[in-house]
Amino acid sequence: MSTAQRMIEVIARNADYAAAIDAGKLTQWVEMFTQDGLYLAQPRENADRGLPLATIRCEGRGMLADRVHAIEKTMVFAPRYVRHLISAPQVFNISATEIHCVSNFLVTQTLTMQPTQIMACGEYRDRWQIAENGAHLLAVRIAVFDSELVPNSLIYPL
Amino acid sequence: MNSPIHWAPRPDASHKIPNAIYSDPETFNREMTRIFYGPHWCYVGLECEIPNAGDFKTTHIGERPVVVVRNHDGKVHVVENRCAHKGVKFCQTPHGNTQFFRCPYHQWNYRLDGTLRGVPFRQGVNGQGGMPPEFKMEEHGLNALTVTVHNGVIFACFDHAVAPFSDYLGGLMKGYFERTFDGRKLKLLGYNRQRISGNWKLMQENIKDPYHASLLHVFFITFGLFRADQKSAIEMDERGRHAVLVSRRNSGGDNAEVTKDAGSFKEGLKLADPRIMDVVHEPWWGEPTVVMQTIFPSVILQQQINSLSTRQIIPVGPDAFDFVWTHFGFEDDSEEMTTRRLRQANLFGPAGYVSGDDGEVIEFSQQGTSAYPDGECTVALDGYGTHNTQHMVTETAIRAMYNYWREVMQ
Repeated sequence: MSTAQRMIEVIARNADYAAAIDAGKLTQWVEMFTQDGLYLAQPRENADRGLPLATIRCEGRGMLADRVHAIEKTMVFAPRYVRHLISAPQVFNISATEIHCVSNFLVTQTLTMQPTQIMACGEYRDRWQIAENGAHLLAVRIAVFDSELVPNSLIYPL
Repeated sequence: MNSPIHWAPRPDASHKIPNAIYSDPETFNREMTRIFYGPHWCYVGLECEIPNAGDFKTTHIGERPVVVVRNHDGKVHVVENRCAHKGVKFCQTPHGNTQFFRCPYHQWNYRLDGTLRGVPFRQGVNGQGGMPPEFKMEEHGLNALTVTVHNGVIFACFDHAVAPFSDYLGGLMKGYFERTFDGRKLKLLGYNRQRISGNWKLMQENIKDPYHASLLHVFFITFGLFRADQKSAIEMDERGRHAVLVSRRNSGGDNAEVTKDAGSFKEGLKLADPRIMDVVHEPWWGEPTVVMQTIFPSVILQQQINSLSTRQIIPVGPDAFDFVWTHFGFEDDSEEMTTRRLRQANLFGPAGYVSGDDGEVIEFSQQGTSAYPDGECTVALDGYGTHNTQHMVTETAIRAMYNYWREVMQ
């Protein structure tokens, strides 16, 4: 595959990622990661200062599935729509098995009977793994968000 | 609405909270003056955030911006983030290291203890202008607050007549404070910051209220982290303003008596990855696995299993507050323990399996009470008293806080 084809593949996978969360199909979100894939939603303040705390930390599909289970079954929150807008990736490194890239994201949130607000903006620091069958899965996605204050709760993943 | 009536002591009805106190601007202004800017120690940070000489961080006490800084001699100062010249909030950087502070507007500069170091054109230029001869540098420093550093935790107060910190806490509360903060060096793990659209007192109430924890938080209930059948206690200082909620985790699973009323209990809920609940008992805990301490008015100190944080309350008008979580461990933690604390942090903060619920219901409280300012809340679980208890089926600490609040506000 050429670099251009790889980029198109990442753009397509990011569209799937956004659609999965925005449509509430969170199991599909889990399946976009490798078995031991790492997902962090981390304040930029912590990332910039080398502080390890993340607002959401999922190490592998088990923890990702637990996060989904909590959102769907145990957490109490006001109903809302979310929408992810993901930019084209800036690609740093491509091999036959991996792509390292960064994309910007903007996530909006709309609470019942409320105007839409910006939930968070930031960048995904990604490492996509390319399987032998050509599937692209996230080995690492660190969603570093600029927002200095989360508007109350962060329920759905960035 | 007749505001002052809300502030009067109500010995006949300690279990009634007027809705208006969550949204009335006059009440809020009085709280800022008498509580946050009055003789109460307010949390501003941890020493491990500013370990070296010249390190500073900015924060707020109530709605007032302040700078917390370590001077060249190692001493911690807290000064108003407000230039003595024209009131400019001179420090716009959230943290850093500096030799002195300089206001960007007219470059008045200050030593780290807040004293004025230099004023441009003080002597005039070419014999013209300049400050009047009676201008005294020592009269134009930054307002410096009274500061106490207790085993690595920094508190400050605008009122220099405030009681010493140990007396402010009282012996019982000091004991719990020193259970976590016994002088060991702390290790900063990071921050979470959220703005919750609710009155600041609702956050204090939330942590003084074990009733909700065993009902609202399905995650807690199901994994036996916090349930109504646990051995627990609510203890307070003599004036009822600070409290601890102490509890010992049990094994989880179904206990019919405590789960039948908890409509939210989910039997059979299992984690796909149990590492998040890989709890390791730390020797300093003693028997309790949970100690949540509310220090009136500005901070909650959290030990929930291996997760440790301070949660600072920064009011933003009557209808909102910023909630700043500073997670930490100890300098001698193993790598495994640090990882464990970071994993368990999934329970807390704005996305917390448990704390996410709290931010949401506090906003719901604000929505209901502010729409009906003439209404009242009723907190009568376990009667009307303000006694310490050996169980968690109680709202005693909420009643105690409001008894104290009325004393201060009347």
